[in-house]
Amino acid sequence: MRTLTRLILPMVMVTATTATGCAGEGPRLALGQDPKTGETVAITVALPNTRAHRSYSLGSWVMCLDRPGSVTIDRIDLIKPQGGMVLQAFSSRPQSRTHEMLGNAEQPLTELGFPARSPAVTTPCAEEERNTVHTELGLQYGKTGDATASAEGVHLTYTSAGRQRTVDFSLTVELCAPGDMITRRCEDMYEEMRRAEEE
Amino acid sequence: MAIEDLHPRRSRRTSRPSSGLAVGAVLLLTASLLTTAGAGVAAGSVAVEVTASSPDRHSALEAAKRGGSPVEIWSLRTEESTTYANPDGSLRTELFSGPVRIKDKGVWGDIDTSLVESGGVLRPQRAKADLEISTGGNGAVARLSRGKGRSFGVRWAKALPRPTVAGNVATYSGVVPGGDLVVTALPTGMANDVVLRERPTRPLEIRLPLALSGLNFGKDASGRLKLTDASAGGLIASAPQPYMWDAAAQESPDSGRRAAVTTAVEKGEDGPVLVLKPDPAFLADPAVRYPVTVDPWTTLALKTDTFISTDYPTAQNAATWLHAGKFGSGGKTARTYLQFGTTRLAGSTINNADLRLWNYKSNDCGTSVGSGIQVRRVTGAWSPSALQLTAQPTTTGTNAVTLARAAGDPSCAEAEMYYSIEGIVQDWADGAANYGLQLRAANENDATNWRMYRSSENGDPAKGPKLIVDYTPPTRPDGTIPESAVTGVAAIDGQPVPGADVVATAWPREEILDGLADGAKVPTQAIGVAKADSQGRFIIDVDPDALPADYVADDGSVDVQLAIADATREVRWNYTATRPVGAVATAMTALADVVVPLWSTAPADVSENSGPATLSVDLGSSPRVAENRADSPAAWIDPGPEGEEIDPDTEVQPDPDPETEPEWQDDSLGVDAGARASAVAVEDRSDVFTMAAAQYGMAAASAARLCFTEARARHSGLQERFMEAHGWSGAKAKVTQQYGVDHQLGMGFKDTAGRWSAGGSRKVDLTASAERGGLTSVWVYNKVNYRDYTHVCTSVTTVIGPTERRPTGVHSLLTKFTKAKPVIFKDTRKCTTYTGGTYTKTRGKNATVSGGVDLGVVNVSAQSGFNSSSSISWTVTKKTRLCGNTIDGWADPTSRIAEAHKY
Repeated sequence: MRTLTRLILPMVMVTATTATGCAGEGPRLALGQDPKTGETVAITVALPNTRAHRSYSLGSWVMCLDRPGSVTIDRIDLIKPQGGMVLQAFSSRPQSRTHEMLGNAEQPLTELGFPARSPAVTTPCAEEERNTVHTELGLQYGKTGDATASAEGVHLTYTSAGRQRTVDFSLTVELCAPGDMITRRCEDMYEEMRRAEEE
Repeated sequence: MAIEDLHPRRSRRTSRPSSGLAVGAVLLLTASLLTTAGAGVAAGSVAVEVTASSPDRHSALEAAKRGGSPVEIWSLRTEESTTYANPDGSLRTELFSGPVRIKDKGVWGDIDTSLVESGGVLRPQRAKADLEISTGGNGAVARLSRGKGRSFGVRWAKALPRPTVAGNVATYSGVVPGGDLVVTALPTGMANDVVLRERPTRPLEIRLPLALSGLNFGKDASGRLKLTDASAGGLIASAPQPYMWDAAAQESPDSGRRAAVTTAVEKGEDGPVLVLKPDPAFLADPAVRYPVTVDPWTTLALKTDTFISTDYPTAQNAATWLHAGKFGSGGKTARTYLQFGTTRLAGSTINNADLRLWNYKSNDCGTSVGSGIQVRRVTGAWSPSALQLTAQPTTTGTNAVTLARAAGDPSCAEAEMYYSIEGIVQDWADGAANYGLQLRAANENDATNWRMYRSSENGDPAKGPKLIVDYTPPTRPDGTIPESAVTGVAAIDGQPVPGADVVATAWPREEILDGLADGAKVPTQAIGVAKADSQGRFIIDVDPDALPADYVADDGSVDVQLAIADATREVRWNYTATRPVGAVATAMTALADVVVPLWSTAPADVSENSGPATLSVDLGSSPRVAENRADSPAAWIDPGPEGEEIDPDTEVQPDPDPETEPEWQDDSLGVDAGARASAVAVEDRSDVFTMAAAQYGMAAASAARLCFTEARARHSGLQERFMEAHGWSGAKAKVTQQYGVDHQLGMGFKDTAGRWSAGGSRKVDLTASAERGGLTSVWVYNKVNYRDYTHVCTSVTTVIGPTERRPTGVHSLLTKFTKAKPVIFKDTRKCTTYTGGTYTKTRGKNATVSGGVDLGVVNVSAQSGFNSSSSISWTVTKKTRLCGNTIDGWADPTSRIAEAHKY
């Protein structure tokens, strides 16, 4: 696992007391897993025609807390990075009715409306999701060479009520080199794109 | 000094099971089980086994507490184990290394291999082997049958005299010069020996023509004789290389002469001939004391108590003894290997564990003989058919136990030896792989330090190796323990039904059912029973080690049918009980505060929410069964009306228009469909309860109902509507199903009045892969196969029960598409805009895609697991909104609606 050199420092904050007021029972961060059902998800993203030393941002990774309170994201590491894959930055922001979440963009997160420092996450998960505002996680990837690079997920470390915890999110990201017809996901994607062009 | 004195932890053992107050409970239960509408059997006509026993763990624990002594839990009785509830709330299981009882016509009985004449042949009174032994004349000396037309017979070249019979031994005198042929009935097979009373005057050759049906016979590189299935090729039975030994060797391994017997397999007129040529020099040696036993051939099932030694370098599976220690003035070594099934102990706290061995012969006797014999935990895999002196598994000295006492010949009476192996059994309960036990000299530099113990093939199976374990299983707040397979509540119109009876039966594995011709039957196999408490609650515990192999799928899952009844009514419900396996099971074992379930309804690779099936059963005016699990039928989704069929490859569908299409509503989930999926038929209480009572030894054979499952018509290619996929021309959807995906397919149930309803479900694994892209708004279909089965019970009369239309497998994948109604997410928080790339949702534990199957007579629910082998993806070729985003990523938790449309 490669340690992220963070470009964005987490905001220093005072941890709020939890619902029970017990310092040892701060909220847990849910990411890629429904806190009610335990259902988890694995997402795979393949991006075409990517180049070295550029920024590829992905958003819409929804986070919430299993109880009221707040947590601070300390660091995020890539899981099994390959081919020079790096996580250049991360940040977060609350969902809003005034803007959509980030899909994909070839820009730094700071140019896409994310704060330079990831704020504390304070949005609790709720029984009724329809009227709930959660927090969107943004991840900014890059690679050191032009070859296809990948990572199999992110390992997120956060502090809750003074205690450091971690959560893994099975987010496979593949930054495909132009014309890569060897890597399976890249080949599939380029094939689909070719088929669409023909139609 | 008594053995007990040498066994400091023995004092913690509780008293032996005894009759007491629990007997009354048994009688009452039996009457309840048997006084059934339509059963046609009066309670008073049924013999009841008078023993302290109760049907399930809860009732047994109550009876044990009341009576102050252990009470057997008879639903957990198996061929090789007996389980008791202790008065202190813990459990005791006695495990044998071989069968000590079998079911005869559905009724348990202790194994008794003593021979009786019946129908012109000798047969064991009650044995696991289907054995016939000749009463003289021509024909086979002995014939062993093993179902499905497979049999193994040994013939003799000349007509045999009438044998003399003593217990389990038939002796044919004078069939060789100065010698006899001795045939011994064993619990799982037979042994044939030639005993030479006098020294032969010329070279001896014993020719044994074999009569085989459905079996092949041969010899492996190590000289073992093996029987294999002629069609499937599996090993059916094996025997070590034949040996012969003289009278002195019979008395002690430190004396006498012994030698291997040269064998050959020749081709005879009617099949193979086993030819044995004892070494003439051995037979002529003046040092050899007669009689000499030539042990030509033993046939029995593969066993888990055996030994090897310098004199017998291949595993002696069939010997009536076990040998461990040093002998031959230190130049020879013997080691015994034992295995016991301890899966049920997972996660338990082991309060006491004693390995009981019956020591009938030692080099000396007393409280301290040599360095003693040590019991070690085996840490590597081995099999009785491959174990050799030169190929032994590894062991560990951690928690090894040594006992220096010795008993038996030459100067003491034989005695039981108890090894306190709590540490080893606790290791197994904590997750260490159970490869069994090894017994060896504590110091293998000893010159003389050996013991012989009775094996499970000795004349009295009760004297075979036994492991007695007192344990406290981890218990959840709901009362379930690791081996709990199902728990639930029985009610009538919402009111609990105290005393409701519950019987769990297992369907044979699919390969068995698939091989049945129309009209063929297989016996119904009860695997557990329970009686509801005062609040209608019931729990059925099932020991995975006790299930017959024919009822367990390769992945360890079992298709279970539950029958739940009050005095007059019953409902039935099916589900597949799975087993957490591999890394998931290991990970769960590591969690100290979690009761690791042996049974679950979740897919095998899912750890969260795993546990026994939990049912709410109502026998009242609106009968229904609700399963309390994340993917229960109540959450299954109504597929809605079927749209027009299309071919995605050739037909271009218009893109959905965000301005005019209806908005996606979460409350459109099919609650009504869930209700329909769990509605069941109530019938008169059936014979299955009488059958189960008999199966667990609560009724005599004469009163036993024998129930069968009869195969009927097949229905191939029924349509499973399983997934709704949405895309548009700028981001078409692609659906992938790969090998290993579980589909929970609904079952149809036709009651005896001919009405169809839902009958639960069965897990069907995909054995193929398929992928289909270019999809817009479509329902995606597979084709699946079903077959009808009818339940029949017979005694004096035959009662034909309900019919079930049961899924048997997948016919073809992604073979039909119909138009689905486009829907649009207008809540922008759940939508995200993408400009390129491929986005795939690959795994959601317990997340499913749902639909239904048209059985022709009733529609039932269908559900596909959405795991690492199943995915839906979109490749964005034009700016696209991808909607349905939740905490789980960008698809609804059910995966039904994951929708892309133009920006």
